[in-house]
Amino acid sequence: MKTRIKELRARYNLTQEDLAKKVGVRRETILFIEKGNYNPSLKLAHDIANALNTTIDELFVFEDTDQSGMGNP
Amino acid sequence: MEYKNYRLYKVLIGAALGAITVVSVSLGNYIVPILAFIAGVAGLYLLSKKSNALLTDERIDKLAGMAARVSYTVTAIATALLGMIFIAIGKDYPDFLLAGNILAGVSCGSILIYAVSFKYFNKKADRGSR
Repeated sequence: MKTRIKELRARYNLTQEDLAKKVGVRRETILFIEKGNYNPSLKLAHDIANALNTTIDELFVFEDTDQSGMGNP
Repeated sequence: MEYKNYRLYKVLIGAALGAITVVSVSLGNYIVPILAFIAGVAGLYLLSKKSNALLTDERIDKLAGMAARVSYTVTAIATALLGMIFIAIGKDYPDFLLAGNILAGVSCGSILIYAVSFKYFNKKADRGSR
């Protein structure tokens, strides 16, 4: 799964820590999501999309090979 | 308190507990390690309450679940196998029979706890979805 979190964070001048605090997760979790190594829950995806003033569709690009909840190794 | 500080205090409490246990047991005192353990658990609880850092989130919970599943599988299989071996050896060496029965009991107990907790959480999730 690819994401546009990094790009949108930069647009709103938010650090990973800022975004993590906004959505109530640890900074590492944002890092893993950005790198595509962790697939967030629907609620977290929704919260991140809200925090970045966008939609889940705009934020995440799903690929057919994504099966595991923990993302690609 | 920052997460780094929390982690440092956690390690320090663990190290102190280990040192106290080793020294006390080597001196033949078994009450001090128990008291130290209780104090350590209480200290960790207070630390986690005092810490304003986010200690867990859904990714950590998911990883903890995966680690717990692996730990459970390994423990249940290992205790069952060891129990079977000890019970088999117990025919010739009776001392092993008790140990074998205890290990078999622990294995069955862990499977029972897994099954009951799985059913409980499944029911809880089902109730939450209605």
